[in-house]
Amino acid sequence: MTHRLHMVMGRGRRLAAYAAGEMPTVVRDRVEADLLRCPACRREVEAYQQVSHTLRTSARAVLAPDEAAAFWPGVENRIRHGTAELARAARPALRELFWDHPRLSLASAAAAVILVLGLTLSQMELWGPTVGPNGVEVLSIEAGEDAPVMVFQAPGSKLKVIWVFEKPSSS
Amino acid sequence: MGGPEGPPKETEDDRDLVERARRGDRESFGTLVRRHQDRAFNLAYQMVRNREDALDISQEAFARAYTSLPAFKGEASFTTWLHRIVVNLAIDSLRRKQRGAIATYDDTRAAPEERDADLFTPEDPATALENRQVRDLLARGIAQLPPAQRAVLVLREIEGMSYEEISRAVGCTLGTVMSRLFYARRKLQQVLKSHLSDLR
Amino acid sequence: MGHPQELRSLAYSCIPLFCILSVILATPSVKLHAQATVSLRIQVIYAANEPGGVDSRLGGLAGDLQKTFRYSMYQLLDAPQGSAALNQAWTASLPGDRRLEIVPTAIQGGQYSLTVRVLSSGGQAVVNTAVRLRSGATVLVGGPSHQKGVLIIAITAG
Repeated sequence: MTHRLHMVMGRGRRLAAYAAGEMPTVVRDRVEADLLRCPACRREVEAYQQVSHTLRTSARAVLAPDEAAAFWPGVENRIRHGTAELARAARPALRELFWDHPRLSLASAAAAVILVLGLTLSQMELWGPTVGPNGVEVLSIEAGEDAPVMVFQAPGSKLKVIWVFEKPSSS
Repeated sequence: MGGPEGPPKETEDDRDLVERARRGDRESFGTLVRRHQDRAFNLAYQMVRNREDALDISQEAFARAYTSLPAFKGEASFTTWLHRIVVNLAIDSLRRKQRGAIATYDDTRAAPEERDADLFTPEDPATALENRQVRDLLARGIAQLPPAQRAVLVLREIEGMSYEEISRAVGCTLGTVMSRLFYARRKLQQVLKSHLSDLR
Repeated sequence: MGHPQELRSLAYSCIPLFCILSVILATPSVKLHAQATVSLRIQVIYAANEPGGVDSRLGGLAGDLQKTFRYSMYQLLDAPQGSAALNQAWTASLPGDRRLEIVPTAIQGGQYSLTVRVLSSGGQAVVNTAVRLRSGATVLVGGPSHQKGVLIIAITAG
């Protein structure tokens, strides 16, 4: 059965947003009216709602009493001795991003070809001022092995910081 | 129970403890740890679905947060900052262990809290069984999500964080958060949709 | 849309085409900037919660460091400078057998695109980032452990 919702761009996102309660009232009322006439859409919404409900009401993982008691001492030990036992992490790579999202790799390949064509044929300065007000723009980051990275700028400071959370070293 | 009430707001106590810890008061950091260890552990567990790894990741996250304390002056809350480290370490762990593989969910190895949840449901056995089946299906679906999608799903649906908090915790734009969340929910919804159809 | 495997195959088949096109079409651009170099000024700073205060040699950077972080001591360990040509690596040694490697990847309109890597003693990248700096702007890369604190590397280009 075809229905107006099926022919609207982003139908899936509309239903997901409706099911999550993340829709403005005006739009929500229209979606509700459409749902009355579309059993397939209702089933989809029901499934979204069940996903959220189940996830939110699932039991949380809790530390056993002995684990809880030993948790802070374990953290202290890591701080003092730097003896983190996490295995060496694979370096998250752009390649992985493209592998997980083949559409992204296709779009990126096409965009790259168009970009090279445009830049070379025009031979013009296409860049306007693209960096932020502090003159710095972070284009990409790859974290090292086992070392999360964060980019931040403290209030009142004009410095942009790329910060690596390295494992604590032995002290 | 999950976190439909959303994440607890950073209290003034937290800020005081962070400040004292920055000045070298390690016991203040210990208080912070004891206050937030359950949430950090649960977040790590929901990501990696393995207690040992979750314990390792959550402890490591606190250790790294401690050594980086002087680097931050409160532009993000302690919990947001901690979440960021936990999520990144969990994603690293997942990529190490599950690259290219589809994780399977072994019913017989369910964590105690997952088995015990059935004991506390007031429904009749048939409903409890269906709920258990739904949870099992969702667990398998979550295990198949790419780590980045799993992270935003866990932070939104289980930790109850706002989109803005999630974007700060995982270090991506709001648009990316919403996109990843949509794809994660859709994957799980597709897993459930056929199950629900079978019941009709 | 198509099966992910098909999409991946199609995407990867675009790569050789892209490479050929970019070599042919981008060569004039490379020649245009072949002689361009970028000046680099690096300040390697040891920050810790130790006595010592702020090193006066840090100059104007000191105030920004104190606004950004809460360390009690900032000590300038080294201040290497140099010029790097486009797509050529410029390196400086860092404490702890580490190495800083900077590669300018584009120079245009008073803005410099740089790849910045901090390499461990084993040659692994502790961090690998690409930044674009306006001439005279400074970016900080921090966090690698050093003695009782951390290293903060201030990079200024142009």
